Amino acid sequence: MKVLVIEDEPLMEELLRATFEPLGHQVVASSSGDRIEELLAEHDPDVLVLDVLLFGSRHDGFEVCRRVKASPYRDTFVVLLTALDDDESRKKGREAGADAYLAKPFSPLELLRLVENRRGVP
Amino acid sequence: MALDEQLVRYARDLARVYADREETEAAWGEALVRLLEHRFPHLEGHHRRVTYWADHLNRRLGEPLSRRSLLRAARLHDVGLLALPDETVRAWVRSVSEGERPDEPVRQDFLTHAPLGAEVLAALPGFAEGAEWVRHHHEAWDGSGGPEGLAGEAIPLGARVLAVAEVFDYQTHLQKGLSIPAARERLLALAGGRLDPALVTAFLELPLESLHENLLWLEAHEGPGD
Repeated sequence: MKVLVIEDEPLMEELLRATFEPLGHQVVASSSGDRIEELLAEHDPDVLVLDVLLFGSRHDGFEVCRRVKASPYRDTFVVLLTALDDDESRKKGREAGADAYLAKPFSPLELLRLVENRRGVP
Repeated sequence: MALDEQLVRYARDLARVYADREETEAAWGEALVRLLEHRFPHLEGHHRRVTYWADHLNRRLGEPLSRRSLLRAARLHDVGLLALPDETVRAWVRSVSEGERPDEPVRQDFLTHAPLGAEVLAALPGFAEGAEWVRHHHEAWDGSGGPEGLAGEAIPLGARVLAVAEVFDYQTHLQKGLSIPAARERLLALAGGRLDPALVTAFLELPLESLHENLLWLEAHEGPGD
């Protein structure tokens, strides 16, 4: 399985790699989703793990997610990671087309279960 | 929660997730080995010893194979025997114990355990990398083995390592009375035929006598799953 990680915090990116790579999954990462179409075309991921707040990027994770779901790569399973666990943010995630929504701090087990089963409840 | 705290907590949780998985996977493997050795008591300890020799050979080679995958494949290399009739396995072991080549129908039936075992490994999380090694562990360097009759380096390295370890254990344990020096001679005679000659050379460079003593000590002092 190929996992694309979009995360602006380098340590979190490393931890996400450490979550998937021991299971044999391939991880590619970017600190910004501004060029999401290019990333999708280049890597064709099965799963996109996407931080909502992307420091230094023009687009936040909601917008990146919308663009994924409007692209030919709309079947990519998108997990939104966010520091905001409120109804409004969940609603925005649903509207953006996210397959799953995880509020920080979340457990790696929860993320692995979501990604391995590809069953999300935004 | 501060970012640092979140990251530390995530890292700790991650370590626990993997420790739990590792333990569960290893327990599944051990359960299958117990079942196998319960059904075929004459193979008791064989899987543990093959694992020991394969590990030492891999280390001698500079660990070209993932140790974790090799140990798991070695433990379960015969798991496909569970699907074979008793008489096939008994006939095979009888022939090997007497140092003879089994009858062709017995040999063909027996070889099916390798692809069956590979299917089991491929289906077990954490064991899949070794599936192809198990599938081909009865291939011969000269192409006379099975199930596919692969030859030379077309046989995966892991399968060639398992073959050396397995043949050595046949000689030192299933063929009763074969001393280490005699087993060395026998192994050398199989180099280039059943076995990869470079691996035989590397294996014979190991201090086999003292390692064998250590192995016997381990068998006497540790449980079956250690």
